[in-house]
Amino acid sequence: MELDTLRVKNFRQFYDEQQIEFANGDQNVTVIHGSNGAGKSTLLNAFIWLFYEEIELSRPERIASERAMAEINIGQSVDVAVELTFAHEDQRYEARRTATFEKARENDLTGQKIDTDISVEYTDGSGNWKRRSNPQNTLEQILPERLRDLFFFDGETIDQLTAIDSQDRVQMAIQNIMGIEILERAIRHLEHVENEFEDEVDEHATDELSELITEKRQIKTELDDITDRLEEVQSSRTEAKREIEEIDDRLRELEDSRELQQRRDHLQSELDDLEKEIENINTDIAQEISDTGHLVFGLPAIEKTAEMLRDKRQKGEIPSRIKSHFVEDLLDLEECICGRPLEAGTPARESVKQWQERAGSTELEEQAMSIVGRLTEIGDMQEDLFDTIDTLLEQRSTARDKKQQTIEELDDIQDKLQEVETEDISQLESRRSQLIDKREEFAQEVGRLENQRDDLTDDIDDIEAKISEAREQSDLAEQARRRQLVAEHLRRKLEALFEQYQHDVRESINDRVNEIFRDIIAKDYYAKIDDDYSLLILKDVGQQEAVSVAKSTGERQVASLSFIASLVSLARERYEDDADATHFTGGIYPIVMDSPFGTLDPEYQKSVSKVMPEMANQVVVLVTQSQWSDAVEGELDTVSGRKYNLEYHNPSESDAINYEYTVIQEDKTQAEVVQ
Amino acid sequence: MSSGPGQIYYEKNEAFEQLVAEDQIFESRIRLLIFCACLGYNRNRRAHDHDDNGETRWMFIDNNQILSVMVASLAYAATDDPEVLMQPEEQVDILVQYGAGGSRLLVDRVLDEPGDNLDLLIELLEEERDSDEFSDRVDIISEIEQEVSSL
Repeated sequence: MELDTLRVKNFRQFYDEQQIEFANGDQNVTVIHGSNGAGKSTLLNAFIWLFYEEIELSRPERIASERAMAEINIGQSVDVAVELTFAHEDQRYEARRTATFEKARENDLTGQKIDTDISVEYTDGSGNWKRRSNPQNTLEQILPERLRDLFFFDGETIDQLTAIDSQDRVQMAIQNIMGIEILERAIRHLEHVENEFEDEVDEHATDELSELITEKRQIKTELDDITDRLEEVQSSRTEAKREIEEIDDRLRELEDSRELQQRRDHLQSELDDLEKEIENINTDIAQEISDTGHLVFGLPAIEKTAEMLRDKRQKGEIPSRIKSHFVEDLLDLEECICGRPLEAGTPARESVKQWQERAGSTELEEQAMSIVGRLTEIGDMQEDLFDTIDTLLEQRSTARDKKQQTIEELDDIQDKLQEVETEDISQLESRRSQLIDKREEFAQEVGRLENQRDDLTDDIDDIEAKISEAREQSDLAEQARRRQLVAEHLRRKLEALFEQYQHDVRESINDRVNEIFRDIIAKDYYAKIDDDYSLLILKDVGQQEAVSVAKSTGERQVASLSFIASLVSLARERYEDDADATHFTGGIYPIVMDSPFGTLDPEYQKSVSKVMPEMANQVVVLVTQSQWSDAVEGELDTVSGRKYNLEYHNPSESDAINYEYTVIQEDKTQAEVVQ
Repeated sequence: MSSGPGQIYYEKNEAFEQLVAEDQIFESRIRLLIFCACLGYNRNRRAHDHDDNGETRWMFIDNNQILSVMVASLAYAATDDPEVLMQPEEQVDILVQYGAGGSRLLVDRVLDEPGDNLDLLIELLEEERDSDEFSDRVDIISEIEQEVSSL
């Protein structure tokens, strides 16, 4: 999609008809300047209204220009229109949404909507203009609504993508851009089909099977409730964690609390180390018990066996002087070692044969040797076990004492901060204390809910096994059951495919996010989308370890911008690559950003400006003059193909102006003006 | 059910899930089974009516000399028959019977008791250590080892 011209007519504060032509090609950035309230967000909303008939501004019902409404009489109407011409997949399009508002009374500046229309025209292969019969669907196909937050966004709030609890948004964005919601929809559909077949099985089933199905459904309902609650509590927990981090950041900044907060940070780190140490000691104790703990209780059995072996040794049974194997050989040869024949029935043979029973067993001797050979080792292991456990328990006790002291000192700090006379600090600390209690409660509830969820999942597995085993008499029920199994099988296959595909896409985006992020950020940080879809900013500490760093809003905004830019670039790449388009053919999309430099410091503003032309084929930037710093201008000036000013006419500043309105003025260079 | 070398079928109660999979105190189910069997023998808990819902392999015992000595000794101590030292099938039967008795006791003494499972296990071991016979037993074993070492 390549934007050409946007025309607005009487849309909110844009009085009468005005237009913006978008830059493309080598100078692909369109810059629109406007002071606060001049209409930057309104322009962003003109796109949203055109494509999706929605307004994301206060008083969304006020679509018509107030000035235009003020200038007409009761019963007359104002036409509002937003029109966009653009190119998409080698065709030119003209999309136009209109609405007509009639003035109902003297001071009516909103009007009654009496007519709306939408039209999309396009050029056919011969260059002739034709009208689409389904304009809304056409627009939805060109720029699906699910993608709108990615391409029309407010730069000041996109840093929320890096918030602790934004995994769902990041995951959803990836799913949306890759079009894999089709798979998700298929999975949901198959679940529905499974339920329908289950109804059918239920209808034709025996009482026993029917009861099992009912029971399964009850448990499933309970499981769904618990899963919902779990998500809710997990989200609350992460929100509490986030708020605590923010309070800590604030306490580090405030002069009266800085020292105490720094001490708390230090103690908290010590506490974490002590907890880790205690955990390691417990692991060592467990290892000892696993390896040799059985000997403590098994020792009497070993003693009894050893005594038996000693007894046999004393009786001379082990080692025996004559081996049974030797006696067997003599009997087989029918000749004694003295040369006397040992033929059957002779007294000599009978005499030798008696030795066979008295001779020792080789096997028993081997076993005896094996046991005896380990006795000392077993005794030593036994003694070492308790020595080792004693030492470890002592270490653990010391670590626990230190931990207790640290906790007490942390409590003292909490008390001190709550008593600081600066109101802000004591309030922050009280809130922090409440949040820590809440976080603990949430953690406990999460544990409880997870247990319940696991138990119920096991119950469902058991019941499903019973349902499968239940022999059906009715052919119809059996047939429905088979169909249900096929649907279930397909669903599981799709779920696996969905997981794999999502994983691959995330990996692919990960590299791009980091590449763009590092182009912008001067610090030794990197960005990563974690396994749980958290957009993280990390820093290496040691060779294989990375920690999430405390981020300023600016860095978070940069990470979010990098993420969106990486999605746009992936979409473009997929569009240009013919291969592997099973789920997603990609696309070329513009980015329209409102206030992208809002919370960035000058250094980041410059870096963001530098990479901005690369973020998408076309970039539209809406900025206030204060955000248009020298650094930004220096980078964007050469790549800005078009520049506009939103000239805001404010009634509070002049008696001659009765109603606010904005005029879009193109800002041409001296050379363009002369030409 | 009689189990012979190859596979061992034993009673796998909740102690196995908790102490092996959850708490990770025992590194394997076979380690816990032997621990339970020793405990069962020590406390005279032999269950002839055990379940056989758990499965493991004789190989894990056979490949470890200390475990092999322990299992053979349990079998002799239970039967007073030296021949059992050469009969792995018989040893396995006795192992799973005492194993079932011991694991049921472990549920009572550890899983069902309030407190940390590791600490409760340590407590159980300490009880045995404090018994009068315990230190004597270690000495007797050393003596026997010296006497019979001429084998």
